[in-house]
Amino acid sequence: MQARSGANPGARPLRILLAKLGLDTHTVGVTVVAHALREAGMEVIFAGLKQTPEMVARSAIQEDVDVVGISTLCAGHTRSLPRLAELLRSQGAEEKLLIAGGVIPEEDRPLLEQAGVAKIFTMGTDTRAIVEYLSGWWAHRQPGNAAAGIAAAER
Amino acid sequence: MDVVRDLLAGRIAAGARAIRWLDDGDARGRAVLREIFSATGRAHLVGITGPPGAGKSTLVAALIGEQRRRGRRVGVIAVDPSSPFSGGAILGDRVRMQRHALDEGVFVRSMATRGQAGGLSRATYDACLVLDAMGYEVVLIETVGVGQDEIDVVSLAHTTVIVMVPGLGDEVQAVKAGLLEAGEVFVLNKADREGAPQAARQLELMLHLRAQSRPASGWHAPLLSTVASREQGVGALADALDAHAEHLRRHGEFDSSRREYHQFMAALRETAAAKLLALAMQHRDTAALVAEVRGRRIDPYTAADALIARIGLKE
Amino acid sequence: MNAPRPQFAGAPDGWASLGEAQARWEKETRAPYLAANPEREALCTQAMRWPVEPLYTPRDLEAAGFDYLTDLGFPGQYPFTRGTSPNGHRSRLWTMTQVTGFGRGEDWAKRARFMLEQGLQGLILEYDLPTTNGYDSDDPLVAGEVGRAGMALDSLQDLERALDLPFEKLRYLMSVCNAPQPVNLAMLIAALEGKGVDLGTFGLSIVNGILIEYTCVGRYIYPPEHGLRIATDCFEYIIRHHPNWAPISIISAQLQPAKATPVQEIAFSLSIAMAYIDALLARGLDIDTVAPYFHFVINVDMDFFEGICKLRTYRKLWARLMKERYGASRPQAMQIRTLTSPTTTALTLQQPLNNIGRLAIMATACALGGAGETMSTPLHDEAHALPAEQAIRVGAAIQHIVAHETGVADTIDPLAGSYYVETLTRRMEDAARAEIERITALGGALQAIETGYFQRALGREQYQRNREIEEGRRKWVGVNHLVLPEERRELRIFRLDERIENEQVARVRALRAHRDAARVAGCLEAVRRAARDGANLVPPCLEAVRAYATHGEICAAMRDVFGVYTPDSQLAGV
Repeated sequence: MQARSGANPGARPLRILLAKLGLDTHTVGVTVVAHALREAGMEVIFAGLKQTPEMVARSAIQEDVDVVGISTLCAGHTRSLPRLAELLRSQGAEEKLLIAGGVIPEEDRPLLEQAGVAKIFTMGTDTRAIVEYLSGWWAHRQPGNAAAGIAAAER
Repeated sequence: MDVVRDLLAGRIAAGARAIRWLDDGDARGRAVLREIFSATGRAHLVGITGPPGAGKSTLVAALIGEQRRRGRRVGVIAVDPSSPFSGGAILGDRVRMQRHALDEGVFVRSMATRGQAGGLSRATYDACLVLDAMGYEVVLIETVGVGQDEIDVVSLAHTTVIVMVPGLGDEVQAVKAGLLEAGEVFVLNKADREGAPQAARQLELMLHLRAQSRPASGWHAPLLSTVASREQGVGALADALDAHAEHLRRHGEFDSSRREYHQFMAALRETAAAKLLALAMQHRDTAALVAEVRGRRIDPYTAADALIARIGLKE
Repeated sequence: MNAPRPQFAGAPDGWASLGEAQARWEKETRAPYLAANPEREALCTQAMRWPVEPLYTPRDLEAAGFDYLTDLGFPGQYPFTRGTSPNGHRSRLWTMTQVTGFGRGEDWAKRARFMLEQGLQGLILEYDLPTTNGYDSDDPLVAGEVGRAGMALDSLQDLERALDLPFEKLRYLMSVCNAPQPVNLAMLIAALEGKGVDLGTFGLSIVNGILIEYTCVGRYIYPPEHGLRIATDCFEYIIRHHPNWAPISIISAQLQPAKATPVQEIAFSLSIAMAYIDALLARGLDIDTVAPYFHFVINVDMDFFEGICKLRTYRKLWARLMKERYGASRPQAMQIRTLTSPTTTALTLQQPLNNIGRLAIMATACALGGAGETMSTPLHDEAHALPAEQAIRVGAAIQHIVAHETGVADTIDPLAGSYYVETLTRRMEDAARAEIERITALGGALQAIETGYFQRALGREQYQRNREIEEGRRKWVGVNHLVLPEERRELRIFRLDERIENEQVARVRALRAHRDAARVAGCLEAVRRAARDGANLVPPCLEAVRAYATHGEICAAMRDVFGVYTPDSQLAGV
C-alpha cells in the first residue's frame, strides 16, 4: 500500500514528521515505524530526540508536513502532547494530523483526544496498521476531493 | 493564507507551503514562483557536497552558527535520497541542526530526491528561490552525498564547497569525478585525524595545478582545514564564502547568466518532455505504434521518431 | 589442531563409519518418516537465524576441528570456556539481585530494605531521566520526569537518605550511571563515608559505560571523545584509590532491546571494552592491572542454546583477546567477570503470567551457560512499569528454585561436549571474531560510533525483527500466537504521586538557599578547569559534592567545556 505511486507522477507523497518528546531516548519504536513508512512510499522527516513541543511545532511548519507523529515513553505526554496541539493550532497548522504512539495508558486517551491527538497507537501496534491508517487518511485528502483539498490548503 | 504576500513578508508557514507546492509539482507552485521571482537574486547560494562520512551535516550545523553570529539569516535545504523501490524516504539531516531549532533566523527544509539523480531534487532550485524571496541572506544546500557524481549543485549554487576527510582516498577520486574542477572552496574536515597533513598537501598541490590552468584573475580555490565537531575552522570557511561572493559580484557574475541559464535549460527540458509526452500519449497513432514495437516489427527509436514527427505535423 | 581422532565406539575406522551409519539412518529411518511428517517450517536459531540441523554428531565436532583442551580446558583455567571459577557454583552460588529504585531517596531505601528481606544480597541503583541527563529536578526541561524511571539524585543529601540501609545484609551495590559518572561516583564516595561504611570491604560497582549509550540507549550528554575521557577518569580513579571496587560494567544487555544479535552483542561490547582498555593503557596502566576490572552484564534471550553458547563464547573470546592481543599474563586479566540475567525484551505485556515461565527458562539457561558472579531477575510484570512487591518476590524465588531445586548448578558446565552446543559455540565464536576484526579495521569502537556503524547495523536488525513478528515468521506467544483477542491488558505506568516531584523540587531549592554559595562557585570553577586541562575529574567533583553543589550544576560545568552531543539521525538509529 503506497501513499505515492511511482507510476503516477502527479501523486504526492505524504510527509510525516516523527519526533520523541521528553528525555526518554529509546529509538527502536520510532526507527521501526520510520522504516515501515518509508517502505510504504512516505517521506519521513525525523526531528530527533529530546524535543520540546515548541521545537516540534516549528519543525512541522518548516517542513510543511501532513502528519506529526510523536513517540513517547514517559508520563509527560499528558502535558506535552496537548501543548503541541495547542502550538500547532495557534500557528495555523491545525489541519496537520497529530498522532502518537508508545506508552500511553487507556485512562489518558480521552484527555489527549480532546486536546487534539487524532489517533493513538499503543506500544506494539503492528506497523501495517499504522501504514493503513495513514494511507487511508491520505487517500481521502487527494484531488478527487479537489475542492475540499484546495480550500483546506489555502486556508 | 495569501502565500505570496506572507512569503515575501518572511512568514515560515507560507514559505514552507510554497516549497511544498513546488516539490509536488503543484501548479500553484509555478504561479507563486512567477510572482516572487523578481524578489530573488540577493541570497548567496552555497552548495555543500562531499562523500559520506565527510561530516557535511556537522559542518553545516557549525556554519549556520557562524553565519548567525555574523547577523545573517540562514536558509538550509538538506537533500536525502528517496528509495528507488518504494519512493519513500527517511530525511534525517535536521537532527544535526537541532541547536538552531528555535532560532527565528534559521529555516531548515528537508527534501527527498524523488527519483532525480545528481545529488539534488528537481525542486531544490525552486526552494532556494523561495528562501531567497523570504529574505534569507545565505542559503546552504546540503546534497545527498552518496557518490561522486553529484554535480547538479554546481549549476545551482554560487559557491560549491567540497568537503573531504583524510584517509578515504578522496584526493584521487575528486580528480576523477571532476569535482576538483567544479568546486570553489575545499574543506578538509576532521583535520585532527591521522593522515590529515598528507591529504592536505596532496589537495593543495592539485588545487595549485588547477589554478595554473586558469586565468590569473580567476578565483583561486582555497583549501581549509576544519574540525567541525569542535567548530574549529568555521570562521575561516565563512570568510572564504564571503570572499567568493565578493569575487562574483566584482566580476558581475553573482547575478549571473550561468546559473539562470542552466535552470532555464533544465526547466525547458522538463517542461518540453512533459508536454511532448502528454501529447504523444494522447495521439491517435500511439497505440498502433506501441503494438508495432511490442511485436518487434519496428525498433523503439524508429517508433519514437515517427510519433514525434506526427505530433510535429499536427502543430 | 591435530588432536588424535576420537574413536567411534563400534567402528574400527573412526568417523567414516559413523558417517555411513548416519547416511543409512537418514535414508532408511528418517526419510520415510519425513515423507509422512514434513517438518513444521524452516527451523533456525531465533536471533542469528542460523539453520538448525536435525541432528548433531561427533562428525560436527570433527568438522569444526574441536579439541577439548584447546577449546574448553578446565574451569578456572585458560581459556575459561567451562567457567571462570575452578569449582563452578558448587562452593558459592551466584549473588542474587534485582533492579530496585524509583522516587526519592527514602522511597528507594524502603524498597531496598524489602528486597534485602526477600533474600536478595545486592541492589542496583538506577536514576531518573533528569539525573542521567545531567539536570536537577527543578529544571523546567524535566517536569513530569522526576523520580519516575529511577531515583532522583540532585545532591549528596538525596543519596544520604537512600543509603539508610542495613549494610550487614548488603553485599553489593551497583550504581547505574553513565554520562554524569564522576559526579555520581563522588556522591557515592561521600555518602558511604558519611555512613561510616568501610570502603575497603564494601563492594561498590559503577556502570560507567558511556560508549554503549552512544550506540543504542542514548543517555549521553557530551560528545563521544569526551565521554570516553570522563569514563577513563573514573576508571583510573577507582584503580588508584579504591582497588576493590568495580569501575566499569559493560552492559552488553542494553544492546538487546536494540535488537542486536548475539554475535553483534559480543563483538560490539568487546570492541567497546577494547576502546576503554586502549585509553587506560595510554595513561600508563598495564593490561594485567586493568583487565581484571572489567565487568560485563550479559542477558540471555529465549533461544535456550543461543543464550548458553553466548555466555561460553564471551568467556573464551575475552580470554583470547586479553592474551593474544594485549599479552596479558595474569589469569585474573583473562577471566571475564559477569552479571547474567534473563532479558526483559522477551517478556510480553500480554498474558503476563506466561513471563514467569519465560524467566524460569532463561534463568536456567544462565545457570547452565555459567551464571557468573551475579544473576539478576527482571520481574514478570515489568513491561515499562516499575516493580510491584509480589513480582519482586516471584523474581527472587525463581533464582532460588533454579539454584536449589534443579541440580543445574551442581556440576560444572554440564552441557560441555554436547555436539550441538559445541558446534554452536564455535560458530558464534568465529562470527564474533570476524565482526571484531571489521570494527578494528574501522578504527575501533569510537570510530564506529562516530561514523554510525553500530547504529545503522542495529537499525537494520530492528526493522528486520519487527517484520518477522508482524508477518508471523517468528512466533511469540500472546503477541502473534495463542493471542487472547479479548484480553485488555492495561499498560500500567507507574504513576508517581505528583507530590513527590514537588517535594523533590522544593528540597533542591532549599538546599541551594542554605549552602555556602561562594564555596560552590569555586568548586564548579575547579571542575571546569580540570575538564579543560585534562586533570582527573573525580577529585574536583568530590569537593563540589561535599560543598553540596547539585548534580545539575556540576554536569552543567562540564557541559560548558565539553559541549553537548547531538548526533544526526543515522547515529540515533533512525
